[in-house]
Amino acid sequence: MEFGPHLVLALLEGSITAAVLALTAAGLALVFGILRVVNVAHGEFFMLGAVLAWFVSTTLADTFGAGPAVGFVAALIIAPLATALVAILADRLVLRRIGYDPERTIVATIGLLYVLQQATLMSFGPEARPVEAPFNTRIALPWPERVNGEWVLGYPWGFGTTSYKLFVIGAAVVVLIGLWLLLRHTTLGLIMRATEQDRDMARAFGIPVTRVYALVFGLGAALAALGAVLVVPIQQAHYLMGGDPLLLSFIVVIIGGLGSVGGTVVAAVLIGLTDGVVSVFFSATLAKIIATLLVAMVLVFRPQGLFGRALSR
Amino acid sequence: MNDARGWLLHLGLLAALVLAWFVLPAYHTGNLARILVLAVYAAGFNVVFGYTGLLSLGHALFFAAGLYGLGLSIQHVGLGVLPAFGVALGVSALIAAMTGYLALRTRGVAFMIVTLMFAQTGYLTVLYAGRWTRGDEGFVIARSARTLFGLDLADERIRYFAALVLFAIVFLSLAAIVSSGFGRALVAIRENEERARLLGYDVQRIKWLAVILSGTVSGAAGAAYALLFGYAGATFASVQYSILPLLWVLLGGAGTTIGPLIGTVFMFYLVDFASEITDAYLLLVGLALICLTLFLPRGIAGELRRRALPWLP
Amino acid sequence: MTAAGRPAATPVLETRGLSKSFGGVDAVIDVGISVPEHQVRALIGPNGAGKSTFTGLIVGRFEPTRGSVRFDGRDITALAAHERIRLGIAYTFQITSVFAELDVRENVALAVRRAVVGLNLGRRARPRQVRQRVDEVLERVGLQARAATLAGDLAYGHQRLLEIAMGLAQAPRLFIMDEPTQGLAADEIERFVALVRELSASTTILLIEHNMPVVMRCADRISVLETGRLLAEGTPDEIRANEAVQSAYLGREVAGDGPDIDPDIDPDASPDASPDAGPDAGPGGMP
Repeated sequence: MEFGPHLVLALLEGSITAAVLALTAAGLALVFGILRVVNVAHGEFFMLGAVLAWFVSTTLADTFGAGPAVGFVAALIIAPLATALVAILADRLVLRRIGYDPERTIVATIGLLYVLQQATLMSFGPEARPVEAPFNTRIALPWPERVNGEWVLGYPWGFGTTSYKLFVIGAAVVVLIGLWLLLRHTTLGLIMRATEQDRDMARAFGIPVTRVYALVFGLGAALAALGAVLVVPIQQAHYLMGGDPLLLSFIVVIIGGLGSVGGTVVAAVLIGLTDGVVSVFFSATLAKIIATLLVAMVLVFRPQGLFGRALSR
Repeated sequence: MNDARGWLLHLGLLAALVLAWFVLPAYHTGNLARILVLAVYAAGFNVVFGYTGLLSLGHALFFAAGLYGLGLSIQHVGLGVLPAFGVALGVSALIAAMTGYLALRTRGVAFMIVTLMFAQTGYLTVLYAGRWTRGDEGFVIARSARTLFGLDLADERIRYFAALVLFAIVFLSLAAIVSSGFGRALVAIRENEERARLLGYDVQRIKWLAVILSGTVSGAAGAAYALLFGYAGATFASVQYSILPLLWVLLGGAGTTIGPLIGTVFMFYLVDFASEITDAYLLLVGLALICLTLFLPRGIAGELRRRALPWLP
Repeated sequence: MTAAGRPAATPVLETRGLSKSFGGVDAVIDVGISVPEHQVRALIGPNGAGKSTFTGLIVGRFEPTRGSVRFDGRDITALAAHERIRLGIAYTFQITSVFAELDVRENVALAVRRAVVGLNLGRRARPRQVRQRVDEVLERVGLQARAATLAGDLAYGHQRLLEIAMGLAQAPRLFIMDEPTQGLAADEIERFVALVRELSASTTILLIEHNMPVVMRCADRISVLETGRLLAEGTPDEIRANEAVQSAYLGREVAGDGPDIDPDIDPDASPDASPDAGPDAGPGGMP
C-alpha cells in the first residue's frame, strides 16, 4: 500500500482510539472538575467495563443461546451500570470518609487500582478473552489512482475498514453530545456545574453535595466502562488493559485542561490521531516516551493545559 | 539528635540487627538483607514525602538510576564495584537535580503527576534501550564481578552485613540531618510553606536540595540491590516501584526515622505470607493502602510518637 | 546614626508609585509612602482599600504592576519574598499563620535559626544559642509558660502573640503587622499597645489596623488608603480632623445614623466622584 492510503488508514485507526479515549478521558475530567480529586483507578473502571462485557455476552450466549448482537446490547447497558455501582461503593466506603482530601485520595485510589486489578485476575484469569462484535462487515475504501493518464477511484487492496469500527466512532460522538446536553441543558447538569463552581454555596442552596459527588464518580466510571465495551470487540478483554487508557486519559485531560470536558475532547482527538499515526510509522515505545515527557512539560510550563483551570492547589 | 533516648533507640536497633544474623534462621536473614536495602530506598523516599511533605509518585526513577547506573557500569563498561557505585550515585543525584528542578515548579497534584510522568519516561527508556538493559527480562550480574576488597558479596553473611552497613550509614546520617537546621526547615515547609517563606527560608532551594538528597539515597539503594542480588530488570523502574516506598513509609510512619524500616519489614512479610495463598498478592497491597489511608494515616511509628513517645525522631 | 553608617535621613521603607492590578481590577494605584526609622506608621482604610495588597507588595508576596519599594535606601522591588525578609523585615499575616502542629518553642526557634544563621549550609546555630534566644523572646511577649504547648492548641489571642514573637525573634529593622489586634480581648489589646510603644525604640513598625482607638494610641503617623489610592497622610490628630477621611471611612462608622452605605454601591455617589474632588464631594455625605 502506498503512503497516502497508509496514512489515511492510520488516521482511521487513530480516530477509533480517539473516540474511545474521548469517552474515557471525559469521565476522568468530570471527576476532577467536580470532585477535585485524581482517580488513579480510572483505568481499572475501563478494564471492568471490558471484563463485564465479556461476562455478560458469554453468559447470555452460553445460557440463553443469544447471538452476539443481543449480547453486545446487553453488555452496553449492564457493564457501565455495574461499573458505576462499584465506583459509587468505593466513593461511599472510602472517598467520602477521607473527605476527598487530594493526597489521601490518590493513595486510596492506588489501593483501589490494585484491588480491582487483582480481584479481576483472581476471577477472570490472566488470559485475554475476545468478545464478538454485533456486526462486522468489511468496507473497502476508495482512493484516487492514476490510470492511463486519468484520475479514477480505485479500491487498493487492504485499504478498508469495518462497519463496526465506524459504529464505534459514531457511538462515541453520540454519547459525548449526550453528555454535553446533560451538562448544559438539564437540571442535573446544572446541579453538577453548580457543585463544581462552589461546593459550599451549592450546599447552602440545598444541593446534596455528597450525593452529587457519588453520582459524578459513578458517571465518570460509567463513561470509561462504556468506552471499553465499545472497544472490546476490537481489542479483547484482559485484566491489565487498564494501564494504557489510564496513562492516555491523564495525558488528554492534562493537555486539554483538567475540569474542561470540551478541552478534553479536543485533546483526545489530537492525541488519539497522533498516537494512531505515530505507532504505525514509528516505534510505539518511542511515541509513548515523547507523549509522557510532553505531559510533564505541559504541566510544568503551562499548568492550565489548553483550556482548563490550573491543576495546582 | 539532641535526645539521648533517640541515640539509644537508633544504636540499639542497629545492635539488634547485628544480633539477628546470629540468632535468626537463614531464610529470615536472607529476607532481612533484601529488606534492609529496600528500607534504605524507603528512607530516601521518606525525606521528600515524610519530612518535606511532597508526594512523589516517581521515585522508581532514582532507584532505577542507581540500579542501572551500577549494573550497566559493571556489565558493559567493566568498572569495578566501587567506581560503579560512584557512577550510580552520581547519575541518581544528577537525575534528581534535573527532574527535581522542573517538577518543583509545580505543587500538589500537578507535582504528583509530573513525577509520575518522569518516572514513566525512565521506565520506557529502559525498555527502549533494550539492547543494553534487556528490558523486562533484565540481566544478571555475574557473581565474579560482585566482589569488594576480595569479599564475595554474594556470600550470604557478607551480603547481609554489607546491606546492614549501608542501612546503618543511611539510618544514622538521616537521623542527624533531620534534627539539624536543614531538617527542621523541611518540616517547617511541610507544615506551613508560606510562613516558612515569610520567615526568610529559601523554600524552593531547600525543597530542591531535599529532592537531591532523597534521589541519591534512593539511587544508593538501587545500586546496592543490583550489587547484592545480582540482577537488574525493568520492573524496578516501573510504577509499582514508585508506589511501594509510599506504602512502606505510610505504614511504618511518614516523617519518622524508624518508620521506613518498620513499614518495609511489615509489608515484606505480609506479601510473603499472601503470595503463598494466591498469585494476586498485590490485592493485599491495595487493601493495605486503602486501610492505611482510612484508619492509620500516621503509620505505626507515627501513632506511637503521637500517643506515647513524643521524643521519637 | 542608623545601621551601616547611613545618614539618618534615609527612610527605612519607601515606596514610589507602587501599583498592582489583578486582571481588570486595580487593587493598588500609585501609592508612595516614606517611613523613617523608629516610626510607628498605621495604614488604615475601608475594606477593599488595598491595604493588605499593599503590604503584600512591600514584603514580596506579589509582584507590582508598576513602581518600586526601597528598604534602607536599597531597591528591593526585584527581590523574592524570602530575600526581603532576610534583609530585616518581619511580617505577620492577617489570618494568623503559625506552625500549628509544632510547639511554641519550635515555632520561635525556626524564626531564630534562620535569622541567626541564614541557613548557610556551612554555618550552624548552636542549640544552646537558639534556646537562649527563644527563651528571651517568649519571656518578652509573655508566652514562656506555654513554651511546650502545640501552637494549634493555643487560644487565638496567644497564637497572634506567638506570631509577633516569631517576628521579634528576627530582630527586624521593619516589622509589618497585618491587623494584629483582630480577635484579641480587651486586656490583650492593652498589652499589645504597650508592646508596640516599647518596640518602636528598637525597630520601625508598619501596622494595618481597623481598630481606631489602637491606631490613635499607637501611631506616630497615619496613611489612609481608599480604593487603592493614598487618600491622606498625617498625624493622628490631623487625620481625625480630615473631612475627606471622615466621609470616606470614619464618618460612616462614627455617624451611625442611616443605613450602612457601601462606598462602592452608593446610589447617590456620582460616578465621577473621587477622593481628590474635595471634602464635600465624597460618597455618602457627612452629617
